[in-house]
Amino acid sequence: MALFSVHNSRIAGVVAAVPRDQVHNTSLDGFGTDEMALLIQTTGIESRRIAPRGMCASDLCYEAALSLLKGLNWQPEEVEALVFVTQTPDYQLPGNSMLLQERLGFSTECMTLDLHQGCSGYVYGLATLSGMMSASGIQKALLLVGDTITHLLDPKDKGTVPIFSDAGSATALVWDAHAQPMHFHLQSSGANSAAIRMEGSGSRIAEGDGYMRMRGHDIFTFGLKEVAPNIERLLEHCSFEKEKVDYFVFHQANRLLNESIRKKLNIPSDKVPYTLQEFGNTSCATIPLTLVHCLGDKLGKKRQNIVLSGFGVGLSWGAALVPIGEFWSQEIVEVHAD
Amino acid sequence: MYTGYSEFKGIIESVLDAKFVVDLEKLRTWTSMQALIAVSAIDEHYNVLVSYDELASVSTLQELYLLINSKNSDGTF
Repeated sequence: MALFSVHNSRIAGVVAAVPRDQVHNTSLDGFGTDEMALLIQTTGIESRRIAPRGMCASDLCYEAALSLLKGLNWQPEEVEALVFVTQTPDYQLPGNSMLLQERLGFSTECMTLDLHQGCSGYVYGLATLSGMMSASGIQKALLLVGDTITHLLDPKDKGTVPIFSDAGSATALVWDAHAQPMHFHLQSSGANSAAIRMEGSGSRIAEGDGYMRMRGHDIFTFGLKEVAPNIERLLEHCSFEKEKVDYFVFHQANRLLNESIRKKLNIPSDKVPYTLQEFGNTSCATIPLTLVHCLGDKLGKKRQNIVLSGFGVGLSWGAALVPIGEFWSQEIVEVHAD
Repeated sequence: MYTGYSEFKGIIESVLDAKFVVDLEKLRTWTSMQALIAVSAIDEHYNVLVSYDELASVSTLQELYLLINSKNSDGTF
């Protein structure tokens, strides 16, 4: 069971970046007035950020990383590990982590690793990198998490186009002997992998058009069934009372699902921030984006205990209980094409 | 636990705004979004998850009600 605690590592700061280009769902073709009104009411998504062709997740994460390194006054050569989480890399190979090691001016002594994860990717990336730091003694590390998921969509697919959006993020982790532990509960179910899939996009010969397809009903029932117990088991594992959690930052899937999960957990609405309205579902970047956009001004003043919960493609889901004390952040960075 | 059909119908009516519903009794006229709203309400009130195939197998609200009653509280996924 992947239910574990990580010691001696903490989050020092987070920055998120989005493309400057904004699209309002009401401007989409092919939707009736009532149909769009119901879609916005149900998903909570009014506008989204779209990366123009040629702008990659690596570009968004790069801009976020630059701001973060500057804000924390980290020198490039100090970063000893870089993990990049994305499903929209620049190339099939090599992975984005190596590209960013060079682009950010990190030393060749910096280890790099790519994780191919979607909506659960922030939690998985945080678990992987913090665990590695705890075991190795690596002092400073960077977690880059982002996707330009809109580049994978069929422009005629009414089930995905109004939902998805693009963003990147950078999270700084430091080794700290006095850090409160982070706790994780990670799960997966490949049996249901067809619920979100891009047939015809990889080495497997399959009939498919190479677009990301989502069985919305299957994903919805998966979220209803799995997310709340995953979080409850996490809190039980670390003997932490739900009422003592300051905020629950969920993957921004859609408002109906997230509200259903919130009610199942009996969490007051003021503890569950949303960025769906402005930014939509930005795949693996929703959690850091929501963390800085909604809670940025609240973090860093006193220690907050935050539950992060990611769930989606894979199927893959996981939650983390993360204490955040000393913390640096800033407003979301807007990135535009050169 | 709700047990009566009229209560069930009231729950579905309350979550599916009449403005957007073509015909409450004809499930196959529901949009995918309306179906998810109903599925969410059924899960909340009856602790039953209705899969896509199950929803597609019924065509009236009465049939959906009978389906929910026939399922155990663990859902299907």
